[in-house]
Amino acid sequence: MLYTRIPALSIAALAFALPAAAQSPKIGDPPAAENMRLVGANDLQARSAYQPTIVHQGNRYIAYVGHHGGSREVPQPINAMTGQPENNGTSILDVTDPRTPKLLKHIPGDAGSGEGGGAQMVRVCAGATLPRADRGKFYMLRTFGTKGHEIWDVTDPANPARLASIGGDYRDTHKSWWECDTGIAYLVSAVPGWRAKRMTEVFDLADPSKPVKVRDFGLTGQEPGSTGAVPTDLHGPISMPQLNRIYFGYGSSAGGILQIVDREKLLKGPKEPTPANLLYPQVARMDMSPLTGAHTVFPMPQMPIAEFANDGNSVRDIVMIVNEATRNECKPQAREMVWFADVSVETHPQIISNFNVRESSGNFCSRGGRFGAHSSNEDMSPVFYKKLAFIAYFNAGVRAIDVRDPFAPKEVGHFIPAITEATDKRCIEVGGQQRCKVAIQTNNVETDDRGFIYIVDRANTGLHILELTGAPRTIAGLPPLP
Amino acid sequence: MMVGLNLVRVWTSVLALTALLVAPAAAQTRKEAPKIGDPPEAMNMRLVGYNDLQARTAYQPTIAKQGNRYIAYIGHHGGSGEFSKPVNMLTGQPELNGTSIVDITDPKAPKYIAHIPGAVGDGEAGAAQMTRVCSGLQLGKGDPNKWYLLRAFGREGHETYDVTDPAKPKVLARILGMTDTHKNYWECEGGIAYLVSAPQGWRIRMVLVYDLSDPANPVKIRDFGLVGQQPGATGAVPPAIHGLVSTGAKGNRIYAAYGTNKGGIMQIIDREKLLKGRKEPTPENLLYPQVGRLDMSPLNGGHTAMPLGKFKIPEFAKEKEGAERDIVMVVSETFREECGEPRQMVWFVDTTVESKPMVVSHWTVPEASGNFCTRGGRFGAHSSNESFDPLYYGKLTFITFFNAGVRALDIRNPYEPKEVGYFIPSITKTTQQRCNDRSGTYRCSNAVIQSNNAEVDDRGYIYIADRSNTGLHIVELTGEARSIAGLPPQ
Repeated sequence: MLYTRIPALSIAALAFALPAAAQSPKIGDPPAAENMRLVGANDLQARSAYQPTIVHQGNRYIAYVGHHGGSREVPQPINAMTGQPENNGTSILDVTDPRTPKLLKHIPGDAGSGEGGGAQMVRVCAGATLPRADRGKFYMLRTFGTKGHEIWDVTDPANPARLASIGGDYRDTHKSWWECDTGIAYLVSAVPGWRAKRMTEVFDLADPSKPVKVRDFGLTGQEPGSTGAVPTDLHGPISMPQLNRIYFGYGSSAGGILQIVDREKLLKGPKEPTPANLLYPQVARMDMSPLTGAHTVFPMPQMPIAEFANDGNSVRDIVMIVNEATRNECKPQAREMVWFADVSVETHPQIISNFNVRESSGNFCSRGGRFGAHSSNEDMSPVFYKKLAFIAYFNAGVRAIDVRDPFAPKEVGHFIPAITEATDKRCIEVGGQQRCKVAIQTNNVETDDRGFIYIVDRANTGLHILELTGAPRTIAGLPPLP
Repeated sequence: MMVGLNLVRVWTSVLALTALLVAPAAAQTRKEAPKIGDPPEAMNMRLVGYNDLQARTAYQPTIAKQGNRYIAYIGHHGGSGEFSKPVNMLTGQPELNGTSIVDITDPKAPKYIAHIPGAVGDGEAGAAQMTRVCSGLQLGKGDPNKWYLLRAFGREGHETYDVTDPAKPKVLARILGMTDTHKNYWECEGGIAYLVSAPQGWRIRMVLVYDLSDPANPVKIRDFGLVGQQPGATGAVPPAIHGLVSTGAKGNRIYAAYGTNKGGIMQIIDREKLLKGRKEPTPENLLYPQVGRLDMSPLNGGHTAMPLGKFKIPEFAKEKEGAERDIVMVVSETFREECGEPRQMVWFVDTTVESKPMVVSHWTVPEASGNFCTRGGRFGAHSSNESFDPLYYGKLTFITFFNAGVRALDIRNPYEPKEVGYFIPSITKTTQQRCNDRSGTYRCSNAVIQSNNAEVDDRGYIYIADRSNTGLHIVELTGEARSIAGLPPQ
């Protein structure tokens, strides 16, 4: 298939360690890379990809990749395994050998293009950790278009079986979170009656075949019956049950809000969505400059700050906030980037630093498609956690950031995959005409406990599995490459 | 005690040599505490002139271009112990620390011309730490040929002086009866003054707004503070104001910093609404002029809130939205000696959407570059220059960092401020030890520089005043830092 040429490309990348080219890459150009190299790839049947979730499932590593809906031109790419055109849904791949990822299954999603269809979000938990599940099984939670959520038995990832559905009449869904140790899930939904297009439904999925609703949650002003301006929509939460905290990011690309929530109070507090009940579990709320969003809020507690080793309060609690760029070719939107917030005094979070890719390093504003941050890896395995973060940056690929000093984050590597024939165009209107360019749109990224980095492309180029080389490999404590 | 004048020649020759040695950008900071006789530590900055200020602990240097002369008005903290009443060599008398007036027309040979004694009291409890100077021409109702000094008088209040002849200041008016004065601001265009004070009834240090367009006849306009600070309020008292900077009638904004070394708050105020809004200190009336409020992490204080204006951020040049940003710099003040609190540093706040200010970046001196936590005294930020003169405004800012001297920051991209120079004066025999009983036993450090406040003039000289009695140092830029300001090469 497409990727028989991969070893050659990876050698090219290694040999030249090319900085990002100043002009738009062409088909056949090698990837642009620094301290990262390609290990393996899969074209994901040229489906626009959102969330990669990597699971160590028995002796195997399985990648579950959520897809956006197809394009208007190709609403239903052919699934080569069935020979049928299928709505984009969830791709399941065996990545045990990362050099030869093997597509096991595609589960179709909802009709609808882009974020209007597909099944973009995916989380997976083992029955062994869920309190009331079958210990021998694995379970997948995914969105179903904008309408609702589904739970699947993926114990045999090549033959998933649907167990349950939630919703069906929602206006939107998005980046849900599932606590594998408790089964509590925070489903990003738009329950009818709520004013925000995205809010949180809390479910108990300890027994994934029998979802039990716990409550609805959102910012005051988003609840049914409230008046005035509607606060920014939720993008997604990350829960830290061991800290009794949940971090919510509102406002993907503008009007960003970081909310810190007391998990116990959220789960056990009064459930009716009154302003008082919605505020009860809130520990803090930081309104960011409305020019910036809050897409991913990734907690990194208890970080020793080397610069402050001799000062008071030298250990700080940090939350990394990633904004999402949503416009093509840098217009008309303020640069979306990465922010580091000090939440040591939880009630008063404060931004302390920022990270950004230099636009001029690749003329990214004119390469085509989106340029700017989107999301980070969310895996907390010790190999990378609190040492390196990986940020999906659309046409600037994935960027490896040394976060050991979150007051001074710095880039230590990057990888921009080569475009292929499958890479889709991105258009803007120029003088009343559509003007299109083809560019990588690295959408989301995840890592596994072996230190592989998985990036997926919104512009249909597929899944790329990467590894670190050079200095960042040492930062992670990974053994030198042979 | 005219050590300053005698020392100048020695210092300049030593310094000229040192400057040559440090001209390359390599850091020249020492790892150990300096001794008397050691040269200053410097990068891209060098000493031009010096005055020992009669070994008085110094706070605010204010530079006025007064006719053909440049005059420095330096506010002092109260002295203590053997330093409580240094002799004023001009009068031969021991005098409580107050205001030093120095002719700096020739920055190589600063000339001490007057000392106005201040109030009784040690440290911040006495003397006359704050100074601001305006010309009658700008004030409106004053004598257009005169010059006026506004200074704090200990904790008790504020005074205005006629300093038309800076060697012979004459008191004009006194506004007394309060406690805890601090860093005032005086708009020379029109004369509105924001007097940082704690009058009777208010729960904490706040702002008295005065019309000082006729400095001999102060007219009170109103009281102002955060909701919860006003008389009769209950609950926790919000942090005390430290100081404020106004952009005057034209900019119509005042930037106030609360919580000197912790609990920092930066407040953006509509000046017109403050001056013309209802005056009774009710919660509603206090909130009326507030445009935005940034509550910082309580680990960080708000000492100086300096509006830096609009910046075209080079990195955002191609963005169709947000390519130009409004930035306010917030400087936190270090209180504790030898790093006994969270590091206080410099914060850059994006206020493009004024109602929602957000910190975007920070800057601090790397501690390891001089082992500053163990040198003695305070290490960390204190304050910035506050001049709006175009020479440095929006390009370079100068931050006093106590035992790390003064630091020159390139702020042309406030999302990524970077240091381009520094100057840590040499200690002298008048430099004090810093003593505390933090560890339970009273102990004193080495004598150590404590660069307290800094100001600049329109010629490009930088004035730094030492809290630890070393005096006033006049410094100029060299190398890369000099070219950023557009100053001609030496």
